Formats: sequence, C-alpha cells, structure tokens
Amino acid sequence: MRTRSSLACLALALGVCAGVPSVTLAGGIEVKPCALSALQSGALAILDQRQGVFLLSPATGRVQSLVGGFGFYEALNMATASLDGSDAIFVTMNQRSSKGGERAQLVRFNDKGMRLDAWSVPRGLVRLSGVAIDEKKRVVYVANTQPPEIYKLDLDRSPRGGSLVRLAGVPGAARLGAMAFDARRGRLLLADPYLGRVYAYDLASGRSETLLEKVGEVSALALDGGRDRLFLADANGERVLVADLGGRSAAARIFAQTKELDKPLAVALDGAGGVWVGDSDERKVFQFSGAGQQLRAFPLWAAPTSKLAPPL
Amino acid sequence: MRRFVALTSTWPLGTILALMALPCSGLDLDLSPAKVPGGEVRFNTIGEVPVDKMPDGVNVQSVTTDHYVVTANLDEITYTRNYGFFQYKLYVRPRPGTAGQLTCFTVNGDSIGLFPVQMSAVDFTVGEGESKDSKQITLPVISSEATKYLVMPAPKEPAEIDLPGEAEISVTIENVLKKWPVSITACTPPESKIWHKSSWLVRDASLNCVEKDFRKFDIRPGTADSLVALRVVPNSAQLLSRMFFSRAGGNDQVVASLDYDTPWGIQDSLDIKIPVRFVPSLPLLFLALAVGAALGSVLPVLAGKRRWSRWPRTFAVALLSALVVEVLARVVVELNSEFRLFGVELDPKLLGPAILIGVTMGLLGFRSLDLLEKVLRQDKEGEPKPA
Repeated sequence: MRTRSSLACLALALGVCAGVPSVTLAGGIEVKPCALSALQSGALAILDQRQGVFLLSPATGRVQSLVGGFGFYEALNMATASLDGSDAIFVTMNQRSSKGGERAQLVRFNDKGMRLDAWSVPRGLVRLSGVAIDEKKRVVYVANTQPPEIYKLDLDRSPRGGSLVRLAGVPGAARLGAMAFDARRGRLLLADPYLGRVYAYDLASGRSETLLEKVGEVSALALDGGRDRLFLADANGERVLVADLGGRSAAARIFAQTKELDKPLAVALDGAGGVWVGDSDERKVFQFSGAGQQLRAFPLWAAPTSKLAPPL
Repeated sequence: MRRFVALTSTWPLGTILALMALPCSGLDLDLSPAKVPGGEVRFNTIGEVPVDKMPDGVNVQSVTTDHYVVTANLDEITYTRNYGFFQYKLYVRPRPGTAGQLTCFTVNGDSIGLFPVQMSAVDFTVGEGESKDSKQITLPVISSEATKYLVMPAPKEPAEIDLPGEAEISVTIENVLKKWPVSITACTPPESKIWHKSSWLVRDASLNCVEKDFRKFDIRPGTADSLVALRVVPNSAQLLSRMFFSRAGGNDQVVASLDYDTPWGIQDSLDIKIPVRFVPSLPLLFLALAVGAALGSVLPVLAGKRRWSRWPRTFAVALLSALVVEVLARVVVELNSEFRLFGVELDPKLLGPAILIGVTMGLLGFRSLDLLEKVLRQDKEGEPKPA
C-alpha cells in the first residue's frame, strides 16, 4: 500500500509538473500504451496489451478504463474509425501462448467498450499485428506478423463472426507490424520492425515496394494525409521519425527524440495537428506539436474496472 | 543510401530533406548467419545512431579489426516478444587514424530451429563503401522457439505431510543455462481445496534465512538450487476423511508455478508439480489407537460379561499392547513386508487400521489382563518367602 501510495504521489507530482489538472489515482493501475488512436470525441484511445483499452481525456488528463482486459488473449494493435456515426475500435489480439499465436482475432468494440463482433483467421498459426481502416469503403485491413500477409474485412459483406480474407503476401518482408491506410494513393503502408523497413502496398495493382529503409524498430505508423507525412515510432531508437511522402522518394528524419522518450510504441495524430506518442516503459503519453515540440506529458494511471471483456 | 536519392539538382527539396535526414555515419556493419547444431540465427542491421560513449557494463565482447573496435554489449540483448526476434546492440569505434565516431548499431537476430543457448562465433564485416574489415565476434545465439530455461528435477519420493499440521516442501530448481542466471519474477502458490493455506518461501542464501515476502531472485547459471520452498497447511478434515483406509486417498500433488525471466527478456513460467502423501501425525495415530482400545475394551463390560471395576486397567493394557502392535506393524511395512489383520492388508500409518488395531487389542484386553495378572501371581508365588 505504501508503495502504491508513493507511486500515486509520484504520478501526481509528474502530472502537476506536466500541467495535467487531474489524474485518476485511487487504487489505480499503470497503463503501458502499445497503440494510440484519436477518437471523434476528442479523447485518445490507449491500448494496453493485457489490461485493455483506456480513454485519456486531453482536457483533464483523466484516464478511464473502456475495455478491461482480453482474457486469454493479448492485444497487439488498434485502429479507430468513425462508422455509422460513432467511434468503432478495432483491436488485433492473439492467444497468449509460449509457442506464439495459435488463435488470433480482430475484435470490434464500440465507444462504450462493448464488444460488438470478432473475426478470426481461417487457418494455421498466425499472429495478427497492424490494423488500418478505409472508412469510405468500410474495409478493415489487418497485417499478419509471420508469414507477412495482409488480410481484409469488408464490413458490409463479411458475416458477423466470420473470417478475415487473405488479400496478399508482402514479398521481401520478414515480419509485418503496424499499418496505415493512405487514402490519397489507395495504398497500405506497412512496418517491418525486424528489417527496419516500411513497405507500400498498392491496393489497385497488388504490388508492394520498399518505401523506407533502416528506420529502426518501427512499432507504430500514423499518416497525416493532409500534409502527406508519415510518423514512425522507433521503439529501439527511442525516437519518433517523420517521412515526407510527397516527393519522388520518401526520406525519414527525426521528429522527436527527447530524454523522456524511452520506448515509444505508439503514435497517433489528432485533428488539430498534434502528434501523440505513447511510451511503454515510461507509462506516459506525450503530446507534441506538429513541429516536434513536446507540449505535455500524461502519466497513465487508471482506475481499475470490473468490466472485463468476455472470453473470446 | 536510399535516403540520399532525393539529393538531385533538379529537385531542391531533396537537398533540404537530405540535410534533415537521419544521422548516418556511412558506416556499415553486417553480420553473417550463425549456424549451430539444430538451427541458425540470421542477423539484420536495422539502424545506427552516433553515441557519445559506450554504456557501462562488464559483460561485453570486443574485437579489434584493422580500422575499428567492435563491441557487443551482452547485457543489452533483448527479445521482442510480439514479433519473435532478438535485438543486439553493437558499438563500432574507429581506431586512431580512421575517421568517424562511435556508432551504435541495432542488429536483429532471427532464430530458425530449436537449439540450446550458446556462444557462437559470428562473421561480420564493418567499414565504409568498398573498404570493409572482416572478422569474427562471439555472440550468444538464442532460439525463440519454446525452450525451458528452468527445470525441476522430479522428486524420487513423495513428500510426506503430517495431518494435522503444516509442511515446508523444499523445491529444487535447475537453471539449464550454463552462462546466464535466470530470474524468478513471481511465484504462484498452489490453489486447491485441499490446502487451507499455502505460500512460497524464498530462502536467502546469503543470509541463511527464509523470507516470507517474495522478492525477485536469481538462479545461478548451470546450478540446481533449493532457494524456494512451499509452505502448505492442508485441509485436514477433508483429507482425513478421504484417506481413512485407503493409502491412495492420501496421495496427491502440489501444483504451483514460478514465473521467470531470462537476461534477454524471454519470460516463461515453470510448472511445479510435487507428489505428496498425507499421513496422520503421531499424536493423531495415538489418539486413534486409544479410541479403538477404549471401544474394544468397553464392549465386554457393556455386554455384562465383565465388571466396570476392572475396565481402567484393561484399557491401559489394551492401549499398551495396541502401541506395541502398531510399532511392530510399522516396522514390518517399512521393511517391505505386509501387515494383515483378519486377512486384510492394512497400512498402519492410516487412521482406520490404527483404530482397528486399537479395537482388536481392546477386545483382547480382559484376556490380556487376566494373563498378565496370572503371570505376575506366578512370579510372586515362585519368589522365596522371607525368613
């Protein structure tokens, strides 16, 4: 209890230092962000691999539990979209096992944290990782770690509780991780954290090419479609990179590399041009300006919830 | 390098982008696959960053080439569980006379096949452009496939637990890694209705004491240590009822688990299964004998065949003889023989047989007392009378 109190005080102190008005502390749990996504409501959805989905209110700094854990599964990635007038949260999750993913699912939650549907992969050993959404066509794309493949889910055609459909393999890739949908060019951007590359998969031609190389352990991608900029979280390099996609050839440069960044696993963009970075080791979310200046830091403490997601 | 492709005369933006691009020394470090019996590890360099100094630590491997000093910090090897590969940090420092600065390379290692963790000589090249130095560096190669780093040697005999009471069962854990310690990060105590209470105890080897509160500790490389113990308080009433006559009812196992962590971050758990055998404690057995002897000796009195006045002495004789029979029966069973009563094989360590021995000796109590008194009388009569 004393340790918890001390940690709570520390979190409060950090929160005050960071200009956070209030943080939920009593009996709180530490959240380790592995994916971030901005919701319509202005809140930030935070995915913790085991503890569930949380909501961070940027205005108050309050962290609340939305989905309280995934049972025997652990989540790897998350994407949100505005579908049917409300926020839909898609989470890729894999069964916990020392042998790797034996069962994997894409699960859809609504903005109240209710599990609406789940889709699985029809065969063999898979480990689902990245997820990206084409809101206009209502199609969800999911990446499989190894073998590096892309799966597709047509929300209007796929039956509830059905299977994901294999779209294509990505030749030359070793492991597929985070994913982003480039609506302007009709392509998917795929991170390979093992080879330190980002690939572009053209949805029309079905061809893939290497877009960026030697960009470290890319654990998250966030695309600013308006400015044609791709943000990359380099977990091992303890930095966030940005690549301008508008030119003939993409090039990555350092966007943010602060002392506080320790293991950035997540990156997301808000509608106001802000860049949000989730750090798993620091248990914090950092807000950066579009120019790379750190604005605020939010310690991630959330009140525990009794709202456990049902076994999947 | 790909990111400098944009640096063209026809496109000035490329110049700007190139200037802002990731810091790059122009130095390349490439590691060849390490082949080991049972598999191999393939390496891929994913990035480099200039650094001011080497990280502190003594667990390093260094190799000097013609132009560079290449150092691997073995404490910085990590396992990326989500994607199933290992990550190494190698530092390249130019030797005097060679341009450049200290650079940290991140190298990913992908294991294929199942093989034990081992040190392996890995070929590498380092340098700029066409000018490359080649040498070997010794690195640990690890298989990401399911491997147990801790094992528990199977106990030869089940641990005996007295009922009622509590027991401390020492658990021996062997670290199969010959060069690295394995950290125990969490202990899960046994959960079963047969345990009234259960907890893990961590023995502090340095202080020669036992700690109740768990703390993370290491199992030394290549050793089998008994640094942990399980303290269990069995649910005696439930267990006694199920093992009244059958020895099998007293056999069970303690199931618990220990979570551990390797130096490179592979986390797993070791299932602990220890066969146990519940045995009634000696005071309880004595009580069973006494109850049996009392029951057996009181029956003739209740039937009106014997008088109450002689019962206390009869009970004492019956209890004494029951104790002697119990001890003899236990000795017989310990010597791999059988103890049979009325043709039925019995285990004298159980409550039922103990009561049965007591009842039998109780029923024979009056006759035993008569015999004893007769012997004592004869002794007295045989003694020479004083002058």
